[in-house]
Amino acid sequence: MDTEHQDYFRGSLSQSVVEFFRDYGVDCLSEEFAIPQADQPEGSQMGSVVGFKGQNLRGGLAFVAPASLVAKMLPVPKAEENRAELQLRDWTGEIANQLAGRFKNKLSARSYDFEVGTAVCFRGMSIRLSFMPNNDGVSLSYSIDSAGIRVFLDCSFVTDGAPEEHEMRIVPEGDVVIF
Amino acid sequence: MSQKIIVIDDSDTVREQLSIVLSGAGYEIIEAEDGLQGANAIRENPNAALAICDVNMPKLSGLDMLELLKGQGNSGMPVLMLTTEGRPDLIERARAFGAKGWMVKPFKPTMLLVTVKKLARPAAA
Repeated sequence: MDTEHQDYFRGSLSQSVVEFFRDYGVDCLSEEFAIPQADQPEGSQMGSVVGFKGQNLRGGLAFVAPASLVAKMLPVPKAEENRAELQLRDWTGEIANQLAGRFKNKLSARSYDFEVGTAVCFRGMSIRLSFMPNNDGVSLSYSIDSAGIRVFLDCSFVTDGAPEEHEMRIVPEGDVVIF
Repeated sequence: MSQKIIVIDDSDTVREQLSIVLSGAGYEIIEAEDGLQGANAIRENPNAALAICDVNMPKLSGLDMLELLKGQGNSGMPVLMLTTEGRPDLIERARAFGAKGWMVKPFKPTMLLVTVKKLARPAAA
């Protein structure tokens, strides 16, 4: 993947991340102010991965954040103890799903087309994400309330090179269309 | 008697978000976790005022559910799609299968309630 497309994907993903958290009332500081992955405090973290595949692009998007931050962002009241872990997993998966959806909508505006899969969630201590050797994916880091969040995008073109681009009117997040 | 709304989404969190907003406005909520359960819930509750349905779900997607229902003779129940997708071709597909509206997540509670009031079938006298 050439630098131009890598920059475009990075920009689109970054916009998707910032807009997503803003819509949930959370400001995140951009990459340059974020805590480096290696310096992240030890502790329980939640993660989710969602795959996507289409005519011209395929890959996966991963999201990792401290479990306490994910819990703080829950848009519903915290569940009772016996359901709390399931609730946190579901919400972590939904975050990856909504991030992938936003990313898709931004790319769809330039004629990329792909289907987003079902998110898979995991929990661990001090999760570090890294790409396979020779991978040209995109890695983003943000800080929210001094806690670090990570979003990784691993994607490649299915066909040779990027598709021919044309503008498409995408319905933006939060909008409604009545038929 | 309160009007029923069928909420179809594979995320427990999203279903709970919707339930909080809609039950607060006096609606009774019936939940379904995927398109198959959603189609059953629509068949079993023909008098429900509205169904709110996600698109990307396991087992049967929201669009496939609409197509299935249309093939079986449309129940006439209005369906509002609530999804992260914003592509016009998908929206057109939903409209062709009988959906009455399309909302892109995340939703604002006030916008959701206005849309629901606009699309929901009036309560039977």
